[in-house]
Amino acid sequence: MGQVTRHPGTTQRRAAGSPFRPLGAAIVALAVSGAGACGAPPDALPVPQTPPADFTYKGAELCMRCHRSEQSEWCDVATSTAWRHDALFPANPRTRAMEEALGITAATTASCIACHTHPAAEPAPEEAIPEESNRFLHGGISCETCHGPGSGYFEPHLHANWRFLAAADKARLGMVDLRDPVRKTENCLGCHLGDARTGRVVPHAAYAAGHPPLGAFEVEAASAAMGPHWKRVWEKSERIQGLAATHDYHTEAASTSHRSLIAALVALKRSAFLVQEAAEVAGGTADAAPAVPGSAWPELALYDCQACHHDLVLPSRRQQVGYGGLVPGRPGLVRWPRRLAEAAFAVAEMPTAAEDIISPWVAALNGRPFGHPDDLRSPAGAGNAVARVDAAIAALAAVRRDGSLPARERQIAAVLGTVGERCTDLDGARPVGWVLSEAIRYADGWTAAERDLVRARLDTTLRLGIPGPPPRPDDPSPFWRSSLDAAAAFDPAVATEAFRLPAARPGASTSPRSSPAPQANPLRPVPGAAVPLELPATTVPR
Amino acid sequence: MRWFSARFAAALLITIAPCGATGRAAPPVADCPTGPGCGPPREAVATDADPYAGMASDPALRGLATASCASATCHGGPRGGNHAVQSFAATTWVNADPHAKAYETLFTARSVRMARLLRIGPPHTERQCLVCHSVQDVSPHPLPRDVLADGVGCASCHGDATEWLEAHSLADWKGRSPADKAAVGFADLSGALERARVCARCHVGDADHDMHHDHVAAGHPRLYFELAQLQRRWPRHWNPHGRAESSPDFNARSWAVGQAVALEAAGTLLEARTARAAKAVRSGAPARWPEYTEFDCQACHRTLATAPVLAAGNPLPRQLPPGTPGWQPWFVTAAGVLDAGLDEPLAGTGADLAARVAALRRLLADEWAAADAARIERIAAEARGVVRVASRTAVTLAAAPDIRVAAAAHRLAPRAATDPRLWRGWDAAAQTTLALEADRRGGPAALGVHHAGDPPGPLDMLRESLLHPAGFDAPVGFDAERFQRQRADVP
Repeated sequence: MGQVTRHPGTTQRRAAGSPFRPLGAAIVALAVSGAGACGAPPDALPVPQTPPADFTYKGAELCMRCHRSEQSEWCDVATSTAWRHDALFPANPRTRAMEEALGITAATTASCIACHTHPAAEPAPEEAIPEESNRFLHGGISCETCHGPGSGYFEPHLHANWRFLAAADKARLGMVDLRDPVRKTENCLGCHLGDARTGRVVPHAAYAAGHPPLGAFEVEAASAAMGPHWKRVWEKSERIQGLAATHDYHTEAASTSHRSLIAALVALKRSAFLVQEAAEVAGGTADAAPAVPGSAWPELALYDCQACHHDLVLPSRRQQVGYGGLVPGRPGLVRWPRRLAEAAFAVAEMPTAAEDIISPWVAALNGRPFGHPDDLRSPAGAGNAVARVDAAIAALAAVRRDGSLPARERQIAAVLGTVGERCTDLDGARPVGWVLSEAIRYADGWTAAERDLVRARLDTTLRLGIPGPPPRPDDPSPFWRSSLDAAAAFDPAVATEAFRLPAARPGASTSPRSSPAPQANPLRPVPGAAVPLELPATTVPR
Repeated sequence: MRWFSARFAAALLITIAPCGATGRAAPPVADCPTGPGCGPPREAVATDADPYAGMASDPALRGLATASCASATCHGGPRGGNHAVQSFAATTWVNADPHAKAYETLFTARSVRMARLLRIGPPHTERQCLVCHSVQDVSPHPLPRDVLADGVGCASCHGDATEWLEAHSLADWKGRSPADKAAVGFADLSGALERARVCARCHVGDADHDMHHDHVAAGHPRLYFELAQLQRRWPRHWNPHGRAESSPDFNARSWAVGQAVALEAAGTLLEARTARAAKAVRSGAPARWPEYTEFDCQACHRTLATAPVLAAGNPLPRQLPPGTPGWQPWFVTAAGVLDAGLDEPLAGTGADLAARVAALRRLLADEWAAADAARIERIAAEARGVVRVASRTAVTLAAAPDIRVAAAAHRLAPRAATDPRLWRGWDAAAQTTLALEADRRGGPAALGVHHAGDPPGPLDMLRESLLHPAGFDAPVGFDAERFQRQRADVP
């Protein structure tokens, strides 16, 4: 852990001195008077060249003035019932037990608040812990955590022409382009996988003290389970979609499954960087006192949990899973992104083994157990590996949404089925299952019943459901416990069966299915009204 | 030419045709992994004219091959033979001793899979395997396969016999002093201290016998060592008269001396590993530290599904920071039991050792994954301290006139109270059980072993509760509460 680099910015309100205030006032006036005609040239909003680092956080209350409104045209947090990032700093018995075991106070520990609060929250001084008025600390993850500090874009984004600004221009005002799957994935994985550069690492000591495990994470499945408070470009009105094409802001990829595949490549890259970045932060031998006792280099939590945490039994699941180039007995990199990333490479027509891509880091890990920080800082061949990932991302991002989508989704489903059949662990199989379950909904070549059957089988076998928070914070058997049980009991043979797809008949009926979607599946059907293309299964109610 | 037995002649034949089908331990050709020396037997080894033409014994092998010892008139005689000269030693060894099968083990499916995973040659060609699975470690030169096929043979423990093979068959041998015998390479194994040190070379390990975590990951079982128990279960191939077995405190002494020697060996191994790693770090070479076999296997190796801390929190106080693996609980608790279990007049003899081990454990809690050379060397220095104290303790115990073990629960209770997580573990339970057995079994070797047909006593039940489930090399499902209850039943 060591020194924690936090997002720049403080809780100070600098609105009074904001250079954009006069501009903002003018924009608000424009918006209120309805003068902002759609299609107006983007240069109606001059974009300052201020580096984003200077932007400050405004607080979610400001956003909620509009966005909690039922009438909100843009985003209705209020109706996103599954939003679950707002109370991440619970005062529950598990937190208390962890604090006791670790000898820390969560509210004053940087590595806790890095993911559990608004990025503007500074570690609270001791006396301020129960202070509920510390809205940043107690607000959980809120708007600006993901969208960026609001001081720069808060006023401009009220302007009716805001949506016609290019993503890059919005970024210059401080708003993060979360439509870009790469950016969004990096954003989510910062906490859901970890990022040593910003201190967002759940240390192994914290897991040992009782922190729930971070399992496999597929961005789009998680978004769907969370309850999207946005619309994809292809869900918006045809008018907006037409404008999107001419205003360079549809960076959203061709479909949800394309987004997932891009995200998988990002996840693979991040899984390789995790340890490398921890080595950089550790700065050599990491003699600095760790933020949480027992969490100095190497940070075990950044490696593959199952590399060590398995039963000592023969025949050995660990040996069946294989070592991916590692010397047996060494902990490797986080494993779950690999199989889906492999599928992404295949869809991008750059077939390669994930293990091949991460081999530079694996070589560094073979030098000594956990790798030596010096070897990990710049493993030979890393640049080439990253370039290959980026090329595949670019290839997938270049796909446009057109009439060939059902055929493309069929191909994606077929690739995922093949890759899924080779999955040896639950955490690696679930991301593949999530995306297959999504892709096959829009694929041609299978009947509705066949698609339903595949999805139901995947759901049951891989536990694709992402349940909500436990009803009670001290729930003795929260969902992740049963996930761990399932991971331990995972049977690759059963999963292989679940991934086996019926033979596709290209051009076969793509009519909407007749039966309802499996209830346990978390993947929300995309609202179909605004989809201009002739896609199947988009109007099926949940 | 006493040593030139028929067996040895056959062995020489096999030397010439390495993959021959004769010889006790030579594997079937079909099992030979491809490698040098494997293939169909060559033709025409012996000629009609002179079956022994061209065959001369290799003097270098004379003192290493078991065949040199196992002629019927020497140690290969019947069980009812001349016990004064251990006429049955090799007979017992070849028929009942697991060491005779050490080399065969290298051909099992498990061993072959290990080699594949480790990306090494066939195990029976790898020195790292052969040093403990054959007599190879006695010689710096690669030995022919038929000599290796003896497994852990006479020379492995008694020493290379080249210099004393003939001398020890003469009448004046028994009159020679131990120093005289040692000068020609004969290892005196009559006392617990000498035995323990020889056994520990492989059963704990040292710089040249390093069974490390790569091996374990590939499939090698974990090592356990407690001398008294091994001697009780091991088929004795010598006359107990005048040796350790003749002493009424044989079991207790074996246990006490064995535990001190085990700690001496464990410290030596840790020191060797850390010193080697530090040197590698300094030269920028790949370094093997942390070496996971130095730590509690169960700290990491359990499925997260069964992790108690994830279930409801674990209220027991900790000695180590959460998520930190402790130094091998097998040895830490051995030191604790040795300290608490020695009765008067030796009570307190193990205190220094227990303190040193505790200090090492504390240091490793911080430095277990140290990356730089200076920090790794600190571990080596602390390990040296353990070796020094363990050595001294072992010598003291070996020389003590009378050893009594009292592994009573009340003596261990204070330890268990200060570090309940350690003392509620399987390793602590096993060490406690072994101490109880050393205390209660008594008598010379084999007499204290439970025989089929006897009703199981409370101690047998206690031992049974330590068994791993089938297929597991870990105490999955070990129930600390049940163990404590059963322990209370032991009289």
